[in-house]
Formats: sequence, C-alpha cells, structure tokens
Amino acid sequence: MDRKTRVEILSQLLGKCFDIEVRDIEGEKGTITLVYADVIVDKDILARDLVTPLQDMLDTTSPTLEKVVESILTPARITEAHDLKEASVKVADGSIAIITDSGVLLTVLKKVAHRPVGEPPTGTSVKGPREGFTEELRANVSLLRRKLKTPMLTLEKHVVGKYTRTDVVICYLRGIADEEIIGKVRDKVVGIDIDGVLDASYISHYLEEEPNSIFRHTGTTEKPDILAGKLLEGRVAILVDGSPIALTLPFLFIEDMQDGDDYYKKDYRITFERIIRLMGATMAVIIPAIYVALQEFQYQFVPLKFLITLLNATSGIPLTPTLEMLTVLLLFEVLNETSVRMPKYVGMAISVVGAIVLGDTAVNAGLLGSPAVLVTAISGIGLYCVPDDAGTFSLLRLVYVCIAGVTGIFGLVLGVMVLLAYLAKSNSYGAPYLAPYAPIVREDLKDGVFFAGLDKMKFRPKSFPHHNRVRIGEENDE
Amino acid sequence: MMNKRQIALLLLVIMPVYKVSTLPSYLASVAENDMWLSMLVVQGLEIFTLIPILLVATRGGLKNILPKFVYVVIACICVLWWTLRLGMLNTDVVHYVSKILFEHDKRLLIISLLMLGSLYVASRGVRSIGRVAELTIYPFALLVVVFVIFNKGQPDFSEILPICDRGVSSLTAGLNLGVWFGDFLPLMFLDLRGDESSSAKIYISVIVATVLEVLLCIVFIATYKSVASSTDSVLSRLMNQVILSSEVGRLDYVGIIVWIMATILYVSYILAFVKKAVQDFSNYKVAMIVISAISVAIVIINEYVWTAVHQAYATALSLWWVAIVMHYILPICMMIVALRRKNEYTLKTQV
Repeated sequence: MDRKTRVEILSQLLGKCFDIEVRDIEGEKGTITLVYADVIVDKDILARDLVTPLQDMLDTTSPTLEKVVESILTPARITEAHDLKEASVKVADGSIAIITDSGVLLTVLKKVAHRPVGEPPTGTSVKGPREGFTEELRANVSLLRRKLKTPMLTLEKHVVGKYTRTDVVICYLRGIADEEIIGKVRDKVVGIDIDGVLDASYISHYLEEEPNSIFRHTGTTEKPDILAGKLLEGRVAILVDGSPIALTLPFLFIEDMQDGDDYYKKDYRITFERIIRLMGATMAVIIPAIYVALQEFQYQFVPLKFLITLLNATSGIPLTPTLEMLTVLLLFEVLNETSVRMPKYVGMAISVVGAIVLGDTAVNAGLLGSPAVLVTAISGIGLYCVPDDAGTFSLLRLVYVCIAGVTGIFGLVLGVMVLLAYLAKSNSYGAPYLAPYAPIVREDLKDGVFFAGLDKMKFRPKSFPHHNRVRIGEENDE
Repeated sequence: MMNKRQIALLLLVIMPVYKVSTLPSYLASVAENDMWLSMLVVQGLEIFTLIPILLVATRGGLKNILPKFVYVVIACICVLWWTLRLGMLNTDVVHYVSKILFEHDKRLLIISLLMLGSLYVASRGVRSIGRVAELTIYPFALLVVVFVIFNKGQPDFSEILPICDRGVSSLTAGLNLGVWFGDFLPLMFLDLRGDESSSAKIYISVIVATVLEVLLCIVFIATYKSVASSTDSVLSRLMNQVILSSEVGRLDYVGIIVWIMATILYVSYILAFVKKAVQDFSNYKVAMIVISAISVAIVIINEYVWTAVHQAYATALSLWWVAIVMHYILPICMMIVALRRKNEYTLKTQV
C-alpha cells in the first residue's frame, strides 16, 4: 500500500472533521504526509521537532521508517502503527500520524488547554498544602510524584471507554499495598465495558463492591497530600483523565470523619473536631426525627420549661408534627438543589430570599412552627459536617422522620439498630466498613474519632490488608 | 464468625435485658429482702453453664461434635425452645414499652416492629450482631454513667438486712422462674476454633453483668422494699430516680432507649443463631423462612396467647423443668460428647 492510499483510508476513518489536518512535506527524495488533530497539537513543537527535520531529511534521503525515526527530534515515543484503524484512534487521541510509503509512525505532541493547579473547592486547607488536582492526568501524576519520590510508586495505565478512550491510572505503593486488592481493582477496571468515561464517578460505580448501598464505598479526594497519605497507608488509588477527583480503596466510614487538614493540627484539636463532626452528622440525621417523636408521642421526654415554650410555638399549626417536619425538610431540599443548580449570580439571592421569605413568612402565617424551621436549620448545618455524605444523610433523615411519626422513639431506636446492622455487614475490599469500631481494631483507634498523634501511629492501619506494617522505626524498609 | 471479644461485649449488653424488667419483682415476691441473693444464685448457675457451652464452642460447636441427624434434632428442639422463650420474655417487653412510651395500647405495633427489625438484623448474620454489640457498648456505658451521676434516689441499705434469715429457701426461691433466663445456649452453635485468644474476657464480662444486675437488685430492694414485689418494671422504677424534668429532661429515657437497643440486639441474637443452626443443615432460604415464621409466631403468641405478663409467667413456672433441661442438662451432655469426641480423635491419631 502506498502513501496516498494510506492517507485516503485514514482520512475516511477519521471522517469529516474540520480540525483534522492532512499536511504533505515534500523534498527532493520523496514525500511524507502528517495527519493530526489541529486543535490538540502543539504547533510550535510540531514545526521545530517534526516538520523542519523531516524537510531536511527528504532533501537528502528517501523516507524509510528508520530514517524518519532517526531524523525526528521529539523526545516523545515514536511507535509504528500496526494498522490504519489503530492510527485513526491515536490521531483522535492527539497523536500525529507520519505516513510514508513504507508504513505509518505515531508520535505525541499533545497540547491541551487545562486549568492551572489551584486550591480545590472540596478540600480547602488552613495550614496544609493548598494545591489540588486538575482535569489533566499528567499534571495530577506530577503532583503525586512530587509527594512520593520513591521507585515503589506504581502507576498502571488502562484505557477505558469505547469512544472516550479515557486514561485510567491505578496508583499504589509496591511492597505496601495488598496484591489481592490491586488485582481486584485491576480486574474491575479492565472489565469496564462502557461507551464513555467522563469523570471518576463513572469508574467509582464499577469499583464499588456493594453498588446498591446507600453509603459510598469509595473514597474521594482532590488533594495530592491526602492521596499520598492514603497510598502510604496501603490503599490503592485511581486517577482518571479529565477528572480532578482521585478515588481511593478500600474505604471505611471513619474516613468521612477525618479531614486532610487534621494531620497539620494539634492532637487534642483534631479529636475535638472529629467529635464535633460525628455529633453534627448524628444530629443531622436524628434531630428532626426526635423532634417529631417527642411532639407526637413522647413529649414527657422534654424538660418542662422547654415543653411550655414548644407548645406555645406550635399551637395553632394546621399540620401534624410529622407533616410539618416533612414539609420543612422537603423545602430545604428544594432550596439546596436550587442553590446548587442556579447560576452563581442569582444563587446567593435565591438561597437567602428562599430561607427568609419561605421560613419567616410560613412561620408568621402560622403554617409552620418556628421550632420545626429551627430543627431543620440545625440538621441542615449538621449535614455539612460530613459533606461527602450529605446526600445519604439527608435521605436518611427523611426516612427517620417518617418512622418516628408513626412509631415514636421505639421505631427510631429500631431504625438506628437496623442501620447499624446494615453497615456492620458492609465490607470494602476486605475491610469492614465500620472498622476500627465494629470490629474493634485497637491499633487503628489511634486515628479514629480520638487522635493519638502522628508519632504514636507506629503501624499502618490494620483494618484492611497490606504489607510492611511498620511506619515508624528501623523495620520500615522499602 | 463472631470472635470472643464480640461475644463478651454482646453478653454484657444483652444479659441484663430481661433480668432487669420483671424478674426482680418476682424474686422480691418470693425471697423478699434476699431477692438479690436469689438473683446471685440464678446468675451463678447461669455462669456455671457457660463453662460447658464455651467448651463445646471451642471444640467446633454442635455441628462439628454431633452426627448430622442428632444435630438436626437438637437444632430443631432449640429452635422450638427459643420461640417459646422469646414469646414468654417479650410479653414483658411489649407490655412495658407500650405502657411507658405510648398513651394508648400499642402492643401489636411494638411486637410487630420489634420482630421485623430484629428479623432484618438477624438476617445480616451472627458476625454483624457481634459488630453491632461492639457499637452498642457505648450507649450502655452512657446508661451506667447517667444512672450513677444523676441518681437522686435515697436507698436505705439496712432494708436488705437480715441477710439469709430464712436459710437456703432464700437462695433457691426464685430458681423456678430464674432458670428461664439463661442466655448462653445459642453459643453452642458457634465454632470458636479459629479464635485462639483467651476466653477469660467472656467470663469477665459475664461476671461484670452479674455484678451490675445484683447491684441493681440491691438498690431496688433498698429503695422500694415495701412495694418491690408489685413493681412491674424495675428499670422504669430505678431510672425514675434520675428524673430531672425541669432541668435537663427525663434522663430515665436514656435508660429506656438503651434497654430497647439491647432488647432488639437480644432478639436478633436469638434469631441469628436460629438462622445459623438451620442454615448449617439446609440453606439460606430455608433459614430465612424459619426465622420469619418464628417472628410471626411470636407476634401471634404475644397478641393472642400471653396477653398479660402474669399469664406468661404462669406458663413459665409450670414448665421450669423444660428450662432446666435446655439450659443446664443439654450443655453438660454436649460437653461430655465434645470431650468424648476429642478423646476418640486423639486415640485414632495415636493408632
């Protein structure tokens, strides 16, 4: 097959795209054709490292594949395409096809516009590092490499998605991460059969061992320091091209109570903050239900003075306490959804106006009681003590309100026990979801709700399998 | 499978469940000021049964020491016994929860919910029950702290004197009902061969639970001697001592909530072991059908058979000998079988 036929077939495979450039480089000894996507190729480097050297070569010698490889200056890898279909896929991915009469070579001179490294919105830090991942995989890997300067850092690349052909990288520290977990993650990533992967959450759905669980079983972070910390603990991470979110496995519930900034503060402060987070999350889920149960059935529970105030504030409300609470909670959900979806310049106005107008007017009109609005506000604030689980917790509180409305405190306690049993059986890649509390893993309690201090954590977490347990001391060899 | 630490914590949480509701008032009616001694005897005998039961469990459990046919027969007998027992004990729970938490009679709702929730918890398996027990220990500890710190009762400890003035009858008076309250039998179905840690923690937790129950009885009789035998719920009475209605609310509810949690755990513990026992000789589906049927049976028993606590207790008192067979004779027989099996195994390997 000669060059012209190859170019013709390749052009057909690539279809009618305005950005596909077919450029002939002619010399005294022959012609070479370059085919590439104009919008994602660095044209300066293309001219300097590819066009000029090829032009010079074509003036002196005929274009064999060996000669082309010798003359090109680019540091990028040059490979020979096995067939034109492969060449078309690579060109669509940003490669340059160098077509001669003797074959097709491929090299990469990609230049994609991307966001600069900045502080991630989901993980702001007061004292810790402020850099966050971006949508550019290579930039993310470089950030990670800067934290973990060890040859033990392994980055396995896989391509997922028939059309998007997204790069998915499995990261782990060799000699620390457990091979069985790595194998399981690899099998799941390789086994993903999907047309496109647009974000890490696509991969996360496939990685979860209990996909129907209402709780997430995959950790997420946007910060390289947190990811490095997780890898040092023996976890496996997944980076996805086009996503600033890194996934981590195995994932334990206690990780939601931890924060990247924790490890840069004093030990007692960390413990205090974690207790507050746990309390906030518990309050968020339980308080509306307790309010309903107390109003409907167990009002004796409330202190006398408080009960009188409560009765004064709720007398004349046309709705039952359960309906009243459900109304306020659903309004809160609507406001929350609106504030997330609205354009930024009206979002603030909507949320403030919504809160004031809806809440205040409804209370003044006697449709809703101010205690119900207050309870919802407290619960709403509590939800964001653990922002990653806010969605799950907000659903749970609705369920608990319904249970408490029908069965009071008894049903609520039963509901809590059912939830505990549900979570107690959950596992994430061999790690009990509620570890280190259920089952109790004594060593890991040092980084549970109570934080013992970095210097006390001599061993890596025992709650999930890994190698090289010792973190501090002479036994900690690579 | 559950490990020894989980068993220890589970027993600590569930042992007082049924023993602190109505049993003390019954003991007070038959042993008066020596009711705490009677409780001590009941508990002492129960601890004694733990020795053979743990021995069976550490040798692989009933499944591994018995031929399949015998195992099936014993498992079926145990399942029937636990159904009867849960039906009897839950009469008390349902009556009490309905009375204390609701204005109107909600017994059917309470027993239905209790069995439904426990059925789900049990369906998660024995291991999950162990893990839930590890989490339930925190509110249990909170209950003890609240009881000690906020207690405003004025017990007169001279009320327990003279001790043992009626001789041995003071000690044995409550045994005919007390024998029903054995909690360890399901553990015979466990295989603890994989857990090589010491069993001491189980004994320690059982002793701690016993001490708590006996202390509760002492405080109860010292506070309410004159009306002790007519009190329908000891926990309610004692937790009333920590009421601070106008200041921080009724703290007795903390006790009631923890007690309800422990009750759910107890019922789930029994159902989970029924599921395990059945599953050992059949499959998951059959096991789930059996525990669902038991749950329905208990709801029916509580709604139509034993509608009052005294009815349930009357049946229990007439069937005291069945309780002795199940809680005392059966574990000892199984221990002998386990020891003989061990000897046979040793002889075979020597040959």
